[in-house]
Amino acid sequence: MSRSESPSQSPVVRHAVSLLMGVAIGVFFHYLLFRLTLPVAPFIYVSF
Amino acid sequence: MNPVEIIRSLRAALASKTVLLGALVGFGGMCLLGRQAARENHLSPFVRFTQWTSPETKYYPTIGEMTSLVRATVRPDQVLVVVGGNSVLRGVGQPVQRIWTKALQQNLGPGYGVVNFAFNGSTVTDAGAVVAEALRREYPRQIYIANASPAAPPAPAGSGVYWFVFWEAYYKGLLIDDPVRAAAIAEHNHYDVIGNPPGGAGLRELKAREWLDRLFYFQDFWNKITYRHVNTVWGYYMPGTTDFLRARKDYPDPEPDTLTYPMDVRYNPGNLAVEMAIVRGCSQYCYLSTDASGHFQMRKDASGRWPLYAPVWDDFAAGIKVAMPQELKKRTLILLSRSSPFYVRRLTADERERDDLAYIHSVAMWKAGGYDAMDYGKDFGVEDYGDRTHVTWQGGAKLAILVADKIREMSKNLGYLQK
Repeated sequence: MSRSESPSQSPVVRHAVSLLMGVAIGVFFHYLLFRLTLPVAPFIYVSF
Repeated sequence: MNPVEIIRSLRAALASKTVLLGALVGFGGMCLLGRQAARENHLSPFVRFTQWTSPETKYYPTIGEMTSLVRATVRPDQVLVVVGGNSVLRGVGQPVQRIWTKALQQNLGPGYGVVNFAFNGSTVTDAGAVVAEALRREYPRQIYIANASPAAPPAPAGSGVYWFVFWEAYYKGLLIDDPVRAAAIAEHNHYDVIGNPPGGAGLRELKAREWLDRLFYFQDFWNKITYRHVNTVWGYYMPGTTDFLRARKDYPDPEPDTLTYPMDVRYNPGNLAVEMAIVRGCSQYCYLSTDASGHFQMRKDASGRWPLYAPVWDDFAAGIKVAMPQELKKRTLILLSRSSPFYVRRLTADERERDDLAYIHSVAMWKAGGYDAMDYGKDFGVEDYGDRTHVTWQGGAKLAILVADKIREMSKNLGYLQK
């Protein structure tokens, strides 16, 4: 489907949906930074 | 519709520049929320860190979480007492209602504010030390407490599991710029994260994470979500495939009351040989030394005296000299935790003498290094311990009396009590 064939919608709605999609991507990337930088090796406490 | 067609549809339906703008707004907003989260005390109510709020379940408390907790619970007009150290001071074997730090707070009274930032297996220079250092200007009247083994020098940036706190504070500019410590840290890079080889990727990855967090504050925000709303991080001990989503705040403090345990559970006969080896090791071996050949800390000579084995004690003295900035040492109280008399009385007479001297010399050397120090447990009973090293809440109450007296003495000497 080409850009000219995209569903008819007002520019406002298109940009609002685009903005929301972008925000979701930004939030997800922020979580990804948190999650991917956590240490992989677990700390198993025995006794010290 | 295949993935390529989905992407084509999205590209057609969405405005790419607006998506990019939204992504920047979303990510930037999250960073701002992270900065806000770093200034909030969401670890409330707090008594101590548990398995659910520690690296044991992949929860890495941030310096922001801990400093905010202090600000929310300790008034500036109180003397701040930060408890660090390991499971002994965390109160393992003491139910949360009767933990020793509550008794310490009661003994000290309203002029002092006690917070327990001890973790299982952490050392003198770990989390509590970093928090106290970061708060040195806001709480200039502060005392930091940690426990240690005889002749065991701490690593200057903390131990492998917990040095995430040091590096976070370092990259956020919260620590004293101490060239002596910096040089020692560079030299001590061989203490890498557990499981990683010396000089391996663990430290580099940790530093990258903390450097990025300085800019984006992802740890504070997502820790807050994990603690208060929904757990997003599965850990080794987390229950079930769906239960793990419960917020960390909903998990109770699981610490048992070891005072109720029968003696053969506290001192399992099957573990006697292992425990005795550990007790002997308190005065026998070079703790944390690169020389693991099993040198005695001291050997009895022909005249019956116990000359110190210099390499062990020189290494110890050098370690405590660079462990923390000079100006912080005098307000630091090191507790040398003695083993339960259940095991100590099973040592030979010579071993008992050597064990006693190891504690006495260690206290003297910490003091000579500019810290304050004391040992405890020599006059405790077998019933005061829940195992070889952890005291029950009954032993904790005794410890709280001793430590409160020492803190009052230090406060007086440091001029904290003068108006």
